[in-house]
Amino acid sequence: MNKPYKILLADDDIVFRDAMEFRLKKDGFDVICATNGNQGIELLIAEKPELVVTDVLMPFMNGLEILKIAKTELGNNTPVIILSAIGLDATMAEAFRLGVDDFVTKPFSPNELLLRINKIIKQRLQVSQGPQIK
Amino acid sequence: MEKLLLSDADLVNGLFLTIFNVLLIVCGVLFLAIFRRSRRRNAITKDHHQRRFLPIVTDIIFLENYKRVAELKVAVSRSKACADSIAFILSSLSVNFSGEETDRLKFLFKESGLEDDRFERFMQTGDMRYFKQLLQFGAADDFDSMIRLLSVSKGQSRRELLLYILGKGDIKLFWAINDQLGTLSEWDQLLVIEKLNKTSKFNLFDEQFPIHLKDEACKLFVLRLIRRFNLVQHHSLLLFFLSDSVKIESEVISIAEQFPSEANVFMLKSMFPCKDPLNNIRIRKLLKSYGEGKDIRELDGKLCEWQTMQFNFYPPFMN
Repeated sequence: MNKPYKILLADDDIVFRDAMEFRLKKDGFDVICATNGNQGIELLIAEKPELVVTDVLMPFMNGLEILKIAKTELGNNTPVIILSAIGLDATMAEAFRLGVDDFVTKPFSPNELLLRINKIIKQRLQVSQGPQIK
Repeated sequence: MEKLLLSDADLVNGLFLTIFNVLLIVCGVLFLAIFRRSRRRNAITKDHHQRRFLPIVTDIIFLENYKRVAELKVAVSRSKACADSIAFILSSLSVNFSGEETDRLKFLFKESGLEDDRFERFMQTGDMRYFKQLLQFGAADDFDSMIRLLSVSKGQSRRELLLYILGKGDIKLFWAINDQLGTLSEWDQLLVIEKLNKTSKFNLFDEQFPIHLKDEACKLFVLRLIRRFNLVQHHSLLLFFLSDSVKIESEVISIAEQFPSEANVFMLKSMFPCKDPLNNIRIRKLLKSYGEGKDIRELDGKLCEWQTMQFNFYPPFMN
């Protein structure tokens, strides 16, 4: 049996975070949750999740800082999806400059987010397995 | 003796004052303790209710377990605290989710009987979640509700509400709030123009319109409408819009540039000279394109006169 894919979900909105946790767990993911930016960074280092889904505006440290650490300082290039209620061009540009894998603007469909997560996982698996010889 | 009696009275007065002050401090401390305790208890209750009802809601919206709707109905009818918590959960989720989940949330609002209280809930709490949800589900669409909402909303919610109201294309609402267009950024005004293009049910361009306009932002807004939607038939109104504002002058010239017409000559001449030298150049260029060579010479003379006058009024630093 395959080990479930570990996702770090960082959002300060308790209701939204718990609901998303429920939805992701239902689809077979192992979900760890962070209530703020600091906790997100701590869990990112300690738990080494395979994917990060984070909000932009959070207390102590924002989602872009989590993205920066996940992409550069940890060196393992963990894929990151940003969820943002403010789809500002500047935020989006900064996120893509830092190497975000996907950017989802709230309100969004949870099914759509799951499709995006699955796409990233598939891409990662293809990269890790290398080119297949026919 | 007299002195001793006076000091006795002072002593009694002082004693009363001290007792009164001590009582006041004790009451204050007691009040603070009770207030903090009740706040903590409310927070605990709210948290407890949220933890209790969120699994029910997620069960319904993600797993379509509609049998649990009855549990929510009972909870809403049982206490106000439960109803508030459920309303908070539904609002929080509805501002974050779209798609079929939103439809299920709408259904839950209706079924649990919380739909009617949404407006009052926002008025009481001022919480953006309730506000966004009001706009999302199209509640509070009547004139009085909109104006009431506008009177209490601030910052981002005010911006969103203005965009929403203007986007509805209702003339009554537009007149009620047209003086507030200036609070919107230029980008937002352009968004409104786009929305009006799709939904407008009224004519902004009757002859009375410029007379009703209260401020510069609104005039600018209508000028942008004329330019954006190529409303050539309303060019005769442009003259009414003219004012000292550089922005308005620039917008009127842009309209004249975009839709060249001989009818603009009189208006352009009356605008000359503008405060902004760039606008003067644009007017000269336009008049030249209409073949008004003689008029340009006239205008140049007028400009020269005007500049001399400015120079005389504000002489440079000369000793």
